Amino acid sequence: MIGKLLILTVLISSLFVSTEDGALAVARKARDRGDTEAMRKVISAGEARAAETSKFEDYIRLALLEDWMCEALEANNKQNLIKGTAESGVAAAEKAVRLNPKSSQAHQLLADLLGQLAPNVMGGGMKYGQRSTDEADKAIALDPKNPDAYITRGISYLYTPAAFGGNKAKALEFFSKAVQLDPQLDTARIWLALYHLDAEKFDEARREINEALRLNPDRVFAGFVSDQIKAGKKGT
Amino acid sequence: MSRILSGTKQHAFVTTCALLVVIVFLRLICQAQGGVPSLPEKSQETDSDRFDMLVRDDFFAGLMGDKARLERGMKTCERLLATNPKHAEALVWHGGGLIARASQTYRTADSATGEKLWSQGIDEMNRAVNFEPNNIGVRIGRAATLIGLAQSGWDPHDSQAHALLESAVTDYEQVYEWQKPRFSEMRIHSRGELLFGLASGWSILGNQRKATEYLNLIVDECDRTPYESEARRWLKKNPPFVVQHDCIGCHVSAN
Repeated sequence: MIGKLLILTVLISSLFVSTEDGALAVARKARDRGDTEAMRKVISAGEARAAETSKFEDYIRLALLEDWMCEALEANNKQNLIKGTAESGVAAAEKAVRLNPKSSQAHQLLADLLGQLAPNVMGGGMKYGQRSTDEADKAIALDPKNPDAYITRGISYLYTPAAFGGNKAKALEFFSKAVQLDPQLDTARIWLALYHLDAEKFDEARREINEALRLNPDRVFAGFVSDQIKAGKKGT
Repeated sequence: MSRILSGTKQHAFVTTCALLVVIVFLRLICQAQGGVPSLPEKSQETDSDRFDMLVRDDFFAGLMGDKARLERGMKTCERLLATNPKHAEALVWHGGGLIARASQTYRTADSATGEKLWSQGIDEMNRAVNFEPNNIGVRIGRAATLIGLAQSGWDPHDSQAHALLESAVTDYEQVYEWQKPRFSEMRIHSRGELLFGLASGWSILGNQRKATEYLNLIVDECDRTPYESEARRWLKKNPPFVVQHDCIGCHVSAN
């Protein structure tokens, strides 16, 4: 009897995990296509679930969804909604960090969401920039094999003035490290393209963005960067 | 994505320019007071009379990370303010110091204290300009800080921020009016930074016409300098754009 119950429990758990992963896959697609309505539904469910359970897993998922929502909003030029979304994401990520301070992903998401928030608040770079960098450093220290953490830290290196720790060579190194850790990660390729675009190395930028689009043809972000590269090349 | 779209369409994401804008404004105060041939109220001062000479080294060192020297600079201001709460220059420097402290506090995730220090800093700079509206150093100090802050992040729906930035840009225009008769005799740094501040401020406020006017003025007034080259690069872009400018030559050594 106990054995049967155990099997049943495992089956139900598997089904639950499968459903959850399915929801995440739907959300990822919505992010890629800039489908904010689909994202909103998944986030609403995620908020309800996190409020109900107060579990780390639910807050980290919610933070991830809010992070993706920022990208979807930007794709739709809904800049005015990003600030609130990033603030909600920061709150979820902070909760996740409190529940599990040793989670590399929680620190990485907090870093990334602070980075999303900064350009949308007056003085945001001063308010959130350094904290974002610190959180990315923590994420790498906790898991040196977390490719997302290297991307987030690389973004910080790319956009920070040199006098304050910015380092474009380091940005390249960190984006490359992310690719090395996960060659299938299109986000790392997109940021490598952006690095090369910033350096006006258009052929290299084109190569990276083509690879990103090969890995994930639906992602609006990659399409936007591709357009930027074309425009940049035209301008030279 | 927000960062890169913002970087190209609206704002660059200046991640950790935490203290840069404050340093820029402090430099500008010094440049304005040391480099402008005639000032509305301060033209008869010598270097030894100038308040900024008293505190600036401590503030520069402090803003580059030497907390003890930042505190010493703040204490100097506080001593003066204790005897004269309307000392505008002490207030504007102290306000900048509070914003630097706020930035350090935000880093520790103590947002409540950070907000409090931030508001106090802005309030002190506002009061400084109210006390001495014709003091060019005070007006530059406040305006440069606010424009710098807006460059490091901007919410177009924040009406309070909009009003602050608009007043800062208007102050810069007043400074330019004051300096106009001898503008070409001023140091290139003072000319370039003031005009780029105007171009940036107006572009953030969405006034592309004025931003373009000031970029064209930079081309004329800062001929054959890095300011001219930078202005020409911005003028090549398709509007709307937000002018992001990092102070040229504001390299502060930590030593």
